[in-house]
Amino acid sequence: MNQLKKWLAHFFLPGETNNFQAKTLHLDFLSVYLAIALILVSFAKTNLPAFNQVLGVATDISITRLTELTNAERQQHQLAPLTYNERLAEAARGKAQDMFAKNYWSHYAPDGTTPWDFILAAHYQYEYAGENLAKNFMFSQGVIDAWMNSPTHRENMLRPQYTEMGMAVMNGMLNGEETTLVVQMFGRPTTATTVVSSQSPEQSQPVVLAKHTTAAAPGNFLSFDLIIAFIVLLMTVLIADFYIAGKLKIVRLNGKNLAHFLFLGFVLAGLLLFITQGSISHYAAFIKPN
Amino acid sequence: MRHLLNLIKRELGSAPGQYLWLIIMGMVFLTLLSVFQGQRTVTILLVIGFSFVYMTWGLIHHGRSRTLHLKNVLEYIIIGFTFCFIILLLLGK
Repeated sequence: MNQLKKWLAHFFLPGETNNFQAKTLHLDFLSVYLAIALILVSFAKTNLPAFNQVLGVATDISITRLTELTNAERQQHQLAPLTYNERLAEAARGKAQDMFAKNYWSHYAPDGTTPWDFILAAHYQYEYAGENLAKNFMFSQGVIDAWMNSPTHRENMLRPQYTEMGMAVMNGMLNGEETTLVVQMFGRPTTATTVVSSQSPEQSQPVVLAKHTTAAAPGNFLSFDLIIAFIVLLMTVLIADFYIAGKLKIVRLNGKNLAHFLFLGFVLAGLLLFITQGSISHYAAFIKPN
Repeated sequence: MRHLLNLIKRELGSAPGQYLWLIIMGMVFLTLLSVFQGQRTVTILLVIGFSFVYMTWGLIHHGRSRTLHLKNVLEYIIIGFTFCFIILLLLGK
């Protein structure tokens, strides 16, 4: 136990054994952090799926998760959950591919193609139909929260007339930057339609999966939570080191712990508040019978 | 806790203008992140920009307090680049 205390004190508190600065703040340790970050960034640029799976960052934008969260919101509002429909999913994929191909971010394409055109092209005859769009979110919950905070998107998600839904999550280049698109299509088939036996998201196989659709898997080395934990740990060590060095009136040549703490604080705030959030379309699209 | 606050006040008081400048730059960083939310390219540029602002702050601060030393400079550079790369990794770049 004493050995453990000494070890922890050596790494996290200033003392005689570490030249009166927490070992984790020494230049050699800082260099190790930088080296690890560089290695991970280098591997992320490779097209080796094995490396990306192990060394990639785990976020949870996935069709399954989005579907679960949508139905959870509907259940909270005493609405029937939506059945996952493969034809609507095909329409959503068609829409996402069209947005990348024609480089637009809107419900309506520059050539006038409407979301309903994609639904009809997938042979889904609708009585009611709707579409929600989102891009560049890192987490499924962020997408759902953004839609629920927007009156028109919320209306779409909670419309009692809908009975089915399909989704697509795709990566591609939009307006010159790499973008993760989420297209959510809602529908209620006409009574005359032979409804395609609905599949669960697990059974349907989207043509293209977004890079970040991999849910946090045990094999992933790096998770978002791990990054946050690392930043918080470093901030704690900085403050503890600053406090003890100040209390013991230690004179040493090093950077300003308070400045590092402020920088990490702003980075953490940016990560938690904005960087994980994307953007949604200005309004949701909905069509109903005349 | 009171002792920690006194230490922080003393540290901030030693160069109030410079710390204020750093805090303002941080607030500008967060504000611009919020304005350009969802735009990956702009987010990446903001992260790189803020990292360089922080590193420059370190150089100027230690230069003015005559404590500029390679060790200090490397500390700011390594921390700045480490978190810049971590965020770039998260953004998929």
